[in-house]
Amino acid sequence: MQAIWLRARMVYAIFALGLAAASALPAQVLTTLYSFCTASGGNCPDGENVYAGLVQGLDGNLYGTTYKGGTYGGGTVFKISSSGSLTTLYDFCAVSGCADGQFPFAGLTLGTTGNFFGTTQGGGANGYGTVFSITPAGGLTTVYNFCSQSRCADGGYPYAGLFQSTNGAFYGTTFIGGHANGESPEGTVFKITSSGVLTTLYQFCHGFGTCTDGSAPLAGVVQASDGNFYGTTFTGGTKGGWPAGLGDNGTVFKLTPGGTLTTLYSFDNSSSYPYGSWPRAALVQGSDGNLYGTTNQRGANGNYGAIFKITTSGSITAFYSFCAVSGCPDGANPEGPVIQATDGNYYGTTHFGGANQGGTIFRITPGGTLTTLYSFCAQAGCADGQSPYAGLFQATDGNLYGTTYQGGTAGMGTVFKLSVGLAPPVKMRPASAAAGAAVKILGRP
Amino acid sequence: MLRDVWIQGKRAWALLALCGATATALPAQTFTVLYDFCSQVGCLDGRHPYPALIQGPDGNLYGGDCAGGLYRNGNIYKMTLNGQITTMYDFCSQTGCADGAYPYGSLVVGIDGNLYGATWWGGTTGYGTLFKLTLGGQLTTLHTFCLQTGCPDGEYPWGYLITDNQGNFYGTASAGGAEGSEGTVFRLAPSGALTVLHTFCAHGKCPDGRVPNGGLILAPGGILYGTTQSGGAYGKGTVFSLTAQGGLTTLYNFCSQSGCADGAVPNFMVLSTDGNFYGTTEEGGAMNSGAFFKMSPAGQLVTVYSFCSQPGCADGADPWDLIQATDGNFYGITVEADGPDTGVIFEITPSGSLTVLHTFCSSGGPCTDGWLPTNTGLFQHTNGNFYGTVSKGGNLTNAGTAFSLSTGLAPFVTTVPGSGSAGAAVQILGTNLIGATSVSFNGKAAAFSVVSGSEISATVPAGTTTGSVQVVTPGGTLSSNVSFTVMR
Repeated sequence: MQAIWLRARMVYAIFALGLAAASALPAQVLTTLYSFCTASGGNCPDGENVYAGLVQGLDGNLYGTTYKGGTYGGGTVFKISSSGSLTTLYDFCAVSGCADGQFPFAGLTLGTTGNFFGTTQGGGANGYGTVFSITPAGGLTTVYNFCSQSRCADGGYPYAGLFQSTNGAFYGTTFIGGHANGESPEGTVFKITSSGVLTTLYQFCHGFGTCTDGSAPLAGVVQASDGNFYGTTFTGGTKGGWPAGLGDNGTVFKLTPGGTLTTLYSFDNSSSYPYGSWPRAALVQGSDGNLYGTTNQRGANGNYGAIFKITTSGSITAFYSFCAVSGCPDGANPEGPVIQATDGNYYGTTHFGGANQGGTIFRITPGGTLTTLYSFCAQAGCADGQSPYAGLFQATDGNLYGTTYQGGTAGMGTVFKLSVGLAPPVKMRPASAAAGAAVKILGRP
Repeated sequence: MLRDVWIQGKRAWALLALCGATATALPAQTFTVLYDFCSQVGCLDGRHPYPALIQGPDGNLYGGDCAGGLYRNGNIYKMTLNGQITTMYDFCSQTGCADGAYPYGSLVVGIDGNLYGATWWGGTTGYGTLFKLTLGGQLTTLHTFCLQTGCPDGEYPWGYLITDNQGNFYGTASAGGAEGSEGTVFRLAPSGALTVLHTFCAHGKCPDGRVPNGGLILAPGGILYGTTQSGGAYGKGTVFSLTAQGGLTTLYNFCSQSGCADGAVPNFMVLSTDGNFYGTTEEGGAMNSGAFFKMSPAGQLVTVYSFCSQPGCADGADPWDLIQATDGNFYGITVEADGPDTGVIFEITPSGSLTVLHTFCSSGGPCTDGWLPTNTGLFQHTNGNFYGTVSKGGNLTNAGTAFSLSTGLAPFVTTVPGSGSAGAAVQILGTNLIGATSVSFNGKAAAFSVVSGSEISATVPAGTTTGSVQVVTPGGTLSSNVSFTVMR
């Protein structure tokens, strides 16, 4: 679908009109709320290079992390209002040796207490990352230091954020580590309580094998309505034909709360492979009960990634392959997950592709019809953002919020809002719970 | 970051092979872990290194990995001789990984001083690329495989590239080729034009072999030699020669002896200074654990050593790469040994006397020295020492290590390219070249200029003949152990 761009009064307010279904498509407005590295004081004291998405706090503000920048260069935790007023809540590496954590790759998770929980990929007591909690006011507590166990049996370098389970505990993954002996650790799935008691639920790549159970998870896990956890590994699996089992194209797995792992699907590497390969993002359970995820490469159209749908029993369906048209105006190589918004459609981002090759925001219906809602780099110098890594977040005002890794007026990433005319949702934290449990309901004031 | 050093003075466990072994004194070996991959947060420095290291014109080592870097799809890095790593390029930084991913084959220095290589994966098609990388980190994609329907140019280039003195590169694709074939040999011209010299297994019949993964050798006279890992008369691989016009001759079919005692599934092969070819097979041999063979240019093959001949396969199994060092002996790494895929570094004389120089993960774990040396290989730097990587193991992260191995071999020089006509410019790579007072080609003095301590630019003198290149430096005279071929 070709989009027509109209520049309105606001410099970066853009209305897209879909030609194919002009009446059905409401106007979309992208607003750049903040460009990182624009604060005075030298080396990006307000942060730079955002990999992570946003979450909404109990106060209605949005909270996120920057991978680098901040006062000490180790990344930040920030708060931003819906009007774009940004406050840096914490600067990592404030403690000698970055013992407080360094380089948060993932975003925050709002806990039931109103505090946030997250991970840093590096820093901490051992240099292999941390789990931290932070109050809305910026009070940081290091909850766990990875690689505290012999030979990193507890994992290290987490790329993923945390998921709060119905039992109140948080669940996440690590990219490396996992075995204390001479085996071939390739990452873990762990459970951690808010007080810092870590249990390693699963260690990938047992033995001196070829990681048929998956390896190196980049994404976190989600708890589905059946109570089990579902996630993806970046590499490993039984297919792909990679020499020496070093590559292989990743898996979708199910993990029971007790730590029993079932590999639901191993991605392949064959020609025009419709499901894509190398998943990097977390899954989301749709209202139809299926899990939806993205793959970064392969796909039916070359090497541009795909969206897949998979049942909790492992039956996979090709949902969409990017770059359906030469030049990839529909986006390419998604890095982040999709979300299901209040209209029942799925929304996400692509890292590359789009009308300006700066990445896109897309919507895809449950029937698989994809609409490109926004192509980044529509403005000179990509002042509107470029190459988003993270997925989107629908706030209680109904709008979608996200970040870009690059672009913005300083080239170091942005926070944006995309208004697509969706109804305001209410959100419950946690999203599911046992009968009798207390939940918080977030809504528009 | 030098971490662990193993000194082996008096053969604590170094084993001398018994097949006609002469009781020569074994010099001390020093195995040193130079670097643990994934030392940088998030493994931005690389994870699971795969290709063998090479020496750049600046004397540094250059290699790649397949699962680390900014996009976790591999990178090319520079490593100093004391283990300081700098990322040169992160693959998949372009839409659709148009810049390639997973560089499995080692790099080669082109006659222009740039690095050239292949990616096994990536490119807009996902079937791999050929690329040029400047020492400043600028990458140019020279060729993307499988842009044409049916992939007549091949798929998934695996082996390393080699260069001739005209700036052409030669390489192999492990799969693809016209009509459902099983691999190609190609030439990449300086213009960027790619020519398929041979397509293996055309029409589904593979008497000429299939899956050419061991790389190529350009012999004096312009004939290419290589191996295929399967196909051939017995389905277990071949040695072939190939003319510049694409005429292929199968020189040897493996498994021609009962029980594949002659070897099966050949991997790497080198052209020895004695004019014969020496190579390894992954399978076959007396113990069906791989063999070391010698083959005359006419195709007369002798199986010199069968791996797993020692109790517990202490001599290694499934040998992979092979190089000839300046002492005339051959060095390589085996994938498997006594234990789980640990591997050994071995030295073997042309007559088959084998010495294990290092056993990976010999303590049974944790494998702090690394393990799984698949497809990685040894490289002899002009300082005389060996360098290499293994794809797994290491300090904590199981991301692999880089190591050095010193056996006391003397420094030497090597030339890029390895042949040329009188008047041609040749780069001489070496160590401590500052203050060099003379350069000669087979005894004939050459005009030269010292570019740096690791590089001399010389001109092939008129009237010289094929032979050794010598450089006289304040520290002594350095010679090339491989003859420089003078073209007429």
